[in-house]
Amino acid sequence: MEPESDEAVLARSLNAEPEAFEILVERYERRIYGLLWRLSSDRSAIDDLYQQVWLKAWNGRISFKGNSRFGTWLYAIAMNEVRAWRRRAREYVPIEDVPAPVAKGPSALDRLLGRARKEALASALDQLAAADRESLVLRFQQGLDYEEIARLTKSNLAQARLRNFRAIRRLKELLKDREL
Amino acid sequence: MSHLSEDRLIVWAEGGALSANEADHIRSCAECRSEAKALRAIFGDLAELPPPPKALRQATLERIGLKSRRAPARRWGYAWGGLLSAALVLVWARPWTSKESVSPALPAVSTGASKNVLPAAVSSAPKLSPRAAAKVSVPEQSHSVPAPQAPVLAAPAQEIATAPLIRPAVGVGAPAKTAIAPIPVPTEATGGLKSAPSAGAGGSVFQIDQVRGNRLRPALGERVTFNVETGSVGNLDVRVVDGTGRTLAQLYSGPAGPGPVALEWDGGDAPSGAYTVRARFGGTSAHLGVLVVR
Repeated sequence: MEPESDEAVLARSLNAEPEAFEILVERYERRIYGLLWRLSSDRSAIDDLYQQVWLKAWNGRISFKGNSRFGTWLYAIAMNEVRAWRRRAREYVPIEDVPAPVAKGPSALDRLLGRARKEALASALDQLAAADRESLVLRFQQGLDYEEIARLTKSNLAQARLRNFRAIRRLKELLKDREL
Repeated sequence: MSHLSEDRLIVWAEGGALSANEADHIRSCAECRSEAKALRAIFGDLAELPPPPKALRQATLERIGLKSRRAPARRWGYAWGGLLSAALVLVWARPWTSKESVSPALPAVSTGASKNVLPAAVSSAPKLSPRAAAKVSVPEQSHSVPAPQAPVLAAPAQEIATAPLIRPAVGVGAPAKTAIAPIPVPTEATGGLKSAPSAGAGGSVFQIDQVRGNRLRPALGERVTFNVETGSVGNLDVRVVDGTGRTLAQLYSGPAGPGPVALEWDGGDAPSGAYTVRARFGGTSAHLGVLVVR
């Protein structure tokens, strides 16, 4: 039996069955959380961002026209939230808690465990332009096709593909610099 | 055949189709294969999806104003226990009731639980995460109504169009040497950190303002910009120091004022970390913090 489509569940949540919305939260919680996790550098902000995304989706569900998939619409909300958060957060960061710079490399054990590689990836992602980072995360973490990415980034198919390729090259360069 | 271009390797690493020639090449060329496998490893790492904290869904639903359809497991345990008890009672009661065609004494078993159709606005007080709670300025007495949320009437796609992407604030382009040369003072500062005005020797007053944000990402060509305002003529010394007091960059040293001096720092070779911009003028000093992110 085919599972009920997201759009049908959303319609139910609008028609006297609001609790059906939880089905959508269940379906997308991991993907949305993962998206925020990759797109925001501040781990402490993710929970708030996550709740904001769902709150916006809940409040705005009546405006969902079905022109795109529900998932694409939800991603758009999540990306808007991250962009707004970046705008708010980028100018000033509290530096009191930042430890003094210490030139210390990862331990051999860390390397073995692959932690260093993941940290290098996170750090390299931090250095990418926001649009490049979004492109990579949408493509490789969320598994979206280029058409969906183009829609979310307000570009066309060729531009979305080109940006993704460029972002990969840039990421590769950054990772190469770290020799990991 | 020459090596595959990076774009073609990316296509292969993403699982896309290559031409027969390209596929033959990648099978036979260790260099291309290794390159493509490295790309696949990166894509694999990018695909990591950490699970959200367990309590987050519940907190989110409560913030929306919805009750979870899923009761906690323990309650289900109670429910099953209740059902089992009811079944036992029915089995026990059957010999006494089977002779009667109608059993008005038995209560009707309701199979349809009443639906929770309470709209968000009248549900119980939403539980916010501590951070969110701090941001919502709703008096505690008004917990019966969640904080008003502006409905999202416009399609998110439209929001995207209006949401500017983050761009480096200043100095994008070719990396400059650690700057000492004064640059024109912006006519309109965009806000920023300010040191408290300091009174120098002889009553001279100066202060240092941060024109832009205090986060500096040298890889993106960013620079931090400062204005040092002196109220009189004197010797000004502005430098960037690390946590141990070691000077990383001398931004200005010499006579200045009265008036503003605009300075900037591109981060030089400083590793990631917190640094201090220290300005000295007329026997007093002022400080500002900068965070370098590599």
